Amino acid sequence: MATPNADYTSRSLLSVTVRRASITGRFYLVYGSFISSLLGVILAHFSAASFSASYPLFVPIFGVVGSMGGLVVFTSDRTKGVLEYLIAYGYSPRRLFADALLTTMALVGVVMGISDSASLGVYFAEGNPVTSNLVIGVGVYAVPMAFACAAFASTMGVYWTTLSSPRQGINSPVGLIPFIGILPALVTLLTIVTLTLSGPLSTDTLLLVLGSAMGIVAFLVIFLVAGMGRFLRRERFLSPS
Amino acid sequence: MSQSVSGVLPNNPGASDDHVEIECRSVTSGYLGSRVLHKVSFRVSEPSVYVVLGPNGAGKTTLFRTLAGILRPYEGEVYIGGEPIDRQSSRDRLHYLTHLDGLPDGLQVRESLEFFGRAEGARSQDVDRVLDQLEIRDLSAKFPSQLSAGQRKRVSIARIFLRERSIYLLDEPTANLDPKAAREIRELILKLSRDKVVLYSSHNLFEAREIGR
Repeated sequence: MATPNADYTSRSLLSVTVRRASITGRFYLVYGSFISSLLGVILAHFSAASFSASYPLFVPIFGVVGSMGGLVVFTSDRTKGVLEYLIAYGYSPRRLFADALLTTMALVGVVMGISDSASLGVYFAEGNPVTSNLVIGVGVYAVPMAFACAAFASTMGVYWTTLSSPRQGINSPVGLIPFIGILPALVTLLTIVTLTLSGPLSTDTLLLVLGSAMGIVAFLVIFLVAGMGRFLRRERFLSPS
Repeated sequence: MSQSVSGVLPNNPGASDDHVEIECRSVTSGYLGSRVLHKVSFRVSEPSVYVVLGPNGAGKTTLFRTLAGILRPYEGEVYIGGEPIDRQSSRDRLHYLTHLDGLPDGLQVRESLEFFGRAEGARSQDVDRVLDQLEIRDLSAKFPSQLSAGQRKRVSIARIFLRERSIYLLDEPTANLDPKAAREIRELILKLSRDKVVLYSSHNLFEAREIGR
């Protein structure tokens, strides 16, 4: 007779999942970290003003790309039946979804950590000052937006993966989600560039645009997460094969 | 599937309720609203191997998924050891195995076993024991992509021996294997699951006869 294990459901698989996502999605992780660091370091070295203005706008895009390992693992786990086994062990679909989301967040943290350390390290090593634009750009926009966009991409990806038949390659959710995930950051970037064409942006306008973008993405993520129980029934987590 | 499993799984009318391991009470279940099982009822009490035989599409996988608590019945109840299946203590009494290997990407064989061991509260020593028991220690450092179909299945089966359970739900575990590998896997399952309640599904009459000997 089996001995019931009282603290069974407290056994977190998150750290293993993050490690798996780093290995399985290493291409995305290296690409996102390397390109954003490279661009940041070049800008910081050659033009402090350009760095302050543009680095915060593009780094969230690479944060999203670099965090795709979380979705790769989730998609693979569903197709190969790993999720089915975990549900049989007592893990709820909600918890599996949360693990995918948290894994994505951890990977964004890695990308942002590497990119910000390298880029800001060079920026300050060059003797450049701390400006309000830089603080707002990186602290208020880039970092939160990278996490919000990645959460948006991951959540969309989980929905898409579980509501569709598995496909491989660029046409799969994993292939297409990065393009959807970077959309909010891209639209924000284009909005700011467009506004800049008609004259210098005031700090208030900049904060309004960045705040609105963040608010919209946060709302979408909350909406999708809240709707999970309604739209993603547990059957959706089973392998279609 | 409409009560068709009753002929295979005895209702054990004389068995006392204290010993009922699996009880399915008028269960209707399926996927996304479609009904695959219709009012299925049976009870299993005695440790033995019970074969659920039926053609593809008969609802065997739906039955096993419902018994394992993966699918929630639309109607009726499933009890494991006298408790509803949605309780963790019920889930902790059973092991579930499908034709899918379910080996996680990015993990070596040993790490895969540790992954599932962690999920069900096994210890590191259990992983070592199972690696030896199933003679797969030499595969420890290999990734799933480096294994043959038979080796992957062996590793997949190893998972259900990490912790002892009283019930084993084995849903076509030898599907997609060649006859030799399938026989090895069946022998392994039978050898390691003595004195347990084993529900084994198959669409193969030959396999059903062999496993039910």
